[in-house]
Amino acid sequence: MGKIWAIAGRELRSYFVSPLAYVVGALFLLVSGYLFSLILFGSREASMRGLFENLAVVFLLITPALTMRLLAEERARGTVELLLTAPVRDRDIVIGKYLAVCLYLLFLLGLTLIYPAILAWVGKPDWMPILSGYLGIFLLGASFMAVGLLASSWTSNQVIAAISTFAISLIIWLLPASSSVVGQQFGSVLEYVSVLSHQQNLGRGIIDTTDLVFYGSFIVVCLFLSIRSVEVYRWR
Amino acid sequence: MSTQTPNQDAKNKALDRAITVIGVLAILLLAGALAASYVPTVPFAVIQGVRYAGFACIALFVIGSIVQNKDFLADVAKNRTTQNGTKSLVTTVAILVIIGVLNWFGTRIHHRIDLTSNQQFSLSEQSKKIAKGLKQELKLTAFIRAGDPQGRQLKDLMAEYGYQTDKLKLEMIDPDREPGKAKLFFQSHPTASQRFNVLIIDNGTKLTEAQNVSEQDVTAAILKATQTETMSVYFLQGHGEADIDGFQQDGLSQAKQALEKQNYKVQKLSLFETKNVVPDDASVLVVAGPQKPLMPQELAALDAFVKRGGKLYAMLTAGADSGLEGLLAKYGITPQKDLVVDPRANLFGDAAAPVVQTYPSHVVTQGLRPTIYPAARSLDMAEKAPTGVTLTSLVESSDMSFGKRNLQDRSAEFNPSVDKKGPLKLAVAAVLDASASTKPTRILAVGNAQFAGNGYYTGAGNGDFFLNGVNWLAEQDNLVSIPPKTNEPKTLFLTGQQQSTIFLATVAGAPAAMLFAGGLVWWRRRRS
Repeated sequence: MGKIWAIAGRELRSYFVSPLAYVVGALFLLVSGYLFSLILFGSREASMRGLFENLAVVFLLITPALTMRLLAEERARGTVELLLTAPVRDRDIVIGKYLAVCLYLLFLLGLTLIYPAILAWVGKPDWMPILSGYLGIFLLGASFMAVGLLASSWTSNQVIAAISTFAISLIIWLLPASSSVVGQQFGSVLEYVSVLSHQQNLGRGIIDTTDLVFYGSFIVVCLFLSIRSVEVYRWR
Repeated sequence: MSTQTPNQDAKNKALDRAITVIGVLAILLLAGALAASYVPTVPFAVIQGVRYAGFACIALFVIGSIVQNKDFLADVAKNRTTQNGTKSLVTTVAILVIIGVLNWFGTRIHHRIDLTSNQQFSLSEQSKKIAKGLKQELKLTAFIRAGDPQGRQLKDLMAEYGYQTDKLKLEMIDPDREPGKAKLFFQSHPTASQRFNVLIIDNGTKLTEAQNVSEQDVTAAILKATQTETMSVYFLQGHGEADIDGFQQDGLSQAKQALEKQNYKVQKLSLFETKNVVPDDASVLVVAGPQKPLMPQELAALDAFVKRGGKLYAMLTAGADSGLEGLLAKYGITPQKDLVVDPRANLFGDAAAPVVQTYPSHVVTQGLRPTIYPAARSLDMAEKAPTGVTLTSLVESSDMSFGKRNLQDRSAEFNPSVDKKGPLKLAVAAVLDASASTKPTRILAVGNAQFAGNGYYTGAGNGDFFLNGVNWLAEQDNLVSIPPKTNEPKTLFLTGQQQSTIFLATVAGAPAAMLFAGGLVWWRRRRS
């Protein structure tokens, strides 16, 4: 565990000493702030359901930027050799790096707490759905991050990693739209696999164990495959 | 593997046994809960408790197994034992299959918590009970345009039903996008309504429709779709009553159609043909505005019908003596010889067509839109109802209305010496308890028949009022008693000042602060 935290800490520090964390943070706040005001003025509803549904698109855009370098950079610089020969296990590397992006995700979500504060200022929001909505949006973001990590483990080219992340996330995003094409049975499977549909329940204030199981499994599978991919690199 | 002391070995074995016991216990508890849910006498709370205990055991089992096998799992994750591709592939596939199975179970065994303050997304207990009790599969079809919020509402609602039962199969068709599918559906279901946002339920032999996608209507339609016996509604004929097959303004063809969509069998009744006996299978007898009085023998037949528990829907007409007056008076309802005139709340300035917008509290008028009563007479309700009778006023005209007694006078002026001042009762419901010579029953009297005619059936709430009335009489009023969800008014009123503050703070302030923090860090690093 200590090694995982050490790797996570190193990674996180590298975010915050470079402009990356701040620029991504500022852009994230810009887009989500714009969405928040627009939805608030339009719906005149003291809830965050609309924002949570739309934040997914923001994650789709910023995830590649955050995850592309995670493993690809190490590979390109050759520092992955250092990591691989150091007395840490492959999964420590993968989990440590993933932990770092998740912590950064929490940081981003922490910034958005000004929105519920504004809602409390102008009205009386229903707090529990907002809380579950945050859980949902965190799990959604964490799923995108896991995809990004996986894509980054395949290549030493950061651009390829970023574009693969974007493409995979986009396809997963669009899966429910194709469900009507492929027939009811298979369509419901596609709808289930979409990371978006599971966030809808949480966004409106329903905690369903199905959604939690899905997100847990999705992230575990991505991490597992990333570990495998790092191992494959070691053999060669 | 580390070598283990005998002591640890014994501990491990004990843990192994404990895990096995917990696993078996989990299966037994869940199977017990499933079996108990089929026994109607077992309270729901007990089933729920057993189910939770089962889930807890599963969780313990999983945690225990992971702890017990952590060395093995670590080996699999790290692939320490197999440094070769094919074996690695096998473990990868194995893990994926396990995750897949886990998720398959996850969709079937699960629990939901509705965190909204007014339980906005939870079904009422009544709907849950009905959904859980479903024995046969029902095919639900709705025609909804893509993007229509009704579609989302229906999907949300069906998801809730889906957690109670797997017997409901919903298909939403957007006829603009899938014209072929829609056409095919109407070819195989020629009697279905070709309208948007109507839910059509097919139980294999007949169709039932919910006129909108609210929980109340959908649950009612599901219940109707599962009822095997069909209730009969008879309409009395022979005294100038409104015709159930008539397509003209005062015809009842739309009312008939609506009743049939709710699975009632609608028939005409001529007492002359049945030798003055109301058929035994009549759940409800509607007398829709007779123009000439019923014969004494016919009135006796109606009286006998009510006494043996038959339900009577009496609709009267202003200016016509129906003979029902005496029958109704026995139960505390006295129809007046007047015409209800409302100079303020009326239909397009026709003072003799009062419009009623608010109603006293009763299941029949719950959530009802405004209703119109063209050429109605008022009903007097006895101050002290006869023994065994409970009277409720359902529809009342406004304070400004009055009952015009002199029907020859064409003016809409209130004449205090002759006319009766409003509010006047336009519809009264009577619940009759059983007595020595009678069975319990219900009577609904309306001082007007035209309200249910084709001319007024749709548009205002008239059709709903008529249907609710029949449902209430047929003791199907449990169908209309699900209270609609009250969405707490969370609407915000933002001043222009507040709006611009919010916009500036979120779109400019917050990102700028973030960039400033970044700049500060960069500047300090450059200096050091």
